[in-house]
Amino acid sequence: MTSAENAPDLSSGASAEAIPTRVPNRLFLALNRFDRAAVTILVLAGLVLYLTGIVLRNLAPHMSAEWTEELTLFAINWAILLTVGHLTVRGAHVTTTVVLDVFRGRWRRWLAACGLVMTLIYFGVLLVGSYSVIDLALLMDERGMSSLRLPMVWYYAALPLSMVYAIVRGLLIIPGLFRGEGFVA
Amino acid sequence: MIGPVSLVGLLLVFGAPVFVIIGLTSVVLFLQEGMPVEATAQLLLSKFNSPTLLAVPFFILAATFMQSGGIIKALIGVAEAWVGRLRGGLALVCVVATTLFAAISGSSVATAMAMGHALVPVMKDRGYPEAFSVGTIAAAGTLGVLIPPSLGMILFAYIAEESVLRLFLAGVVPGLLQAALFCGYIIWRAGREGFARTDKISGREFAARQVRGMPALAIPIVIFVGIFGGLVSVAEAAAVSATLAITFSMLIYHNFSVRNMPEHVLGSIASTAAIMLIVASAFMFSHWLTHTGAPADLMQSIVDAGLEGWQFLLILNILMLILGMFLDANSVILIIVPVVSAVLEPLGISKAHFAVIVIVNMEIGALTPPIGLNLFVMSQISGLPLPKVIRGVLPYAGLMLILLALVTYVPEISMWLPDLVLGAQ
Repeated sequence: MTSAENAPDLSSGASAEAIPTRVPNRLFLALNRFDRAAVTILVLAGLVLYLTGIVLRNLAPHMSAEWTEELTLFAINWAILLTVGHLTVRGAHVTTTVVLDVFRGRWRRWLAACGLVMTLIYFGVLLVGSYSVIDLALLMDERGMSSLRLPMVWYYAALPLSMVYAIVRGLLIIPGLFRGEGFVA
Repeated sequence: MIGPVSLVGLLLVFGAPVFVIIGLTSVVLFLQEGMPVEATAQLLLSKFNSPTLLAVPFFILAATFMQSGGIIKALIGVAEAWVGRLRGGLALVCVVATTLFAAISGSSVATAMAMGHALVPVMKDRGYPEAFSVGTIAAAGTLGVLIPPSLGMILFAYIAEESVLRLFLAGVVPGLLQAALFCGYIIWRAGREGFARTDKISGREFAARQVRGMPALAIPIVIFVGIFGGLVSVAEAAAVSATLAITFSMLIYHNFSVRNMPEHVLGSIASTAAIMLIVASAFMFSHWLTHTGAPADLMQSIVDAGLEGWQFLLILNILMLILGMFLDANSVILIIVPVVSAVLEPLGISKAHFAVIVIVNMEIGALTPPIGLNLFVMSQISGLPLPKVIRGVLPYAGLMLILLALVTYVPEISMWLPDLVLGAQ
């Protein structure tokens, strides 16, 4: 595991000069609370559903509910994609800063901010791509493989929504990054 | 249009996340090949929607709760009762407890962090040399990714379309061999430098520690019986493991409150997201590779060069050791495996054997600067400067190179157990 949530300042490699961390404002605190609540609900719901499926399959095969796996996948993937914005504004993605560490001061700040801009551009590409995926799924009325036959759009919608969420949060901190205020604490 | 190589260079200068480097480069490569860019989103969504990959968030969730929920302390108590009385006992406790924890956790960094927080202060109090202590913990932490369950192996199996079970089994003997090599070194060094033994414990205390450690020790047993008894899949075993970790932390070890749960869950899922984004981007790159026929070209160049299996593995080992110094383990797996997996069979190398070689390389990568994650973990926990941590790790890195040579050129070390349990392929 290399993400910064467990090792925040480690995943970004050997930073010679740490970017200063600014005090999170009320908006980011609220968003953080939302992340915590939404992700916890989705993950625990997914875990309970998954366990229910295991128990039913092994103890009461006649009541076996194969759809629990599909719902778990939906819940967990929504949770994973929702946290992308959380990771982005904390500068907590897995990065390699070997080259960046050569630079100092204002140069380093600006280059790191450009790194965030490139990240947001990539999210934009995924956002545009997900529009076609959803469009096609609606056109074909694509359904899940389980007996519930859930519309796949329910799952696909996680990508564009989480990308918009991540882009908006990223845009909010970019000016601060260029000014040297750093990522969100 | 900007070329892929200059884009990679630019993104490296920006310190962009690894998934952005791989993903944006893949987008440029898609455009150059006239492939639809929409495929990037399609690939991400389809690859995320995999029951196998459900194991990743659940194993990380389990490791997070074990780390903070008192399970580590119980495991250390058990290991101390077993080997603490030997000279250099605490260092041996570290290796034994890490081996036990590795059978529950799937990550090298999580294991090093968990052990580091618990053992660094105690080893310092008992007069162990600081560099030796942190070196031992950092190196032992790498066992987390070799001894099953292992996140690296789950990702490898998913990309190479190999059975996760076979890979898990292939990691058992090399993992135990690594632990034995470390213990041998510790015993030799403890004898030479006169390291302390831990205090003698009474028979009653010994029994109490076994009882207290029993729930923690039961988790890997439940995982293995469940998987090999055919009751649950690997992902389901991960979910059971996470549930047991949460339950035991709250009800038995009383080291965890419900109020903290959202923070731990968010942290675990954020760690998962960081890995999964790299997985999805690597699949885009792999999609482009397959489209261009690069693996077939690689095979042809190997045939043209007249390379044999052992020479191919030697070259790959050197390449992976270099990559492992600059990239995290999962990134290296996701870059190397799609390119190489197609050429393994013609060279007579099994995927399970190769998986173990890759994982040992990644373990070494976790101990080598500039991006050796375990080094940073231990430097942060102990407050020691990085060069001192590196000095402590060096002897273990040497042992790991011996292990790498052994698992590379004696495939039976990896393949004996999977062939015995699942039959030869």
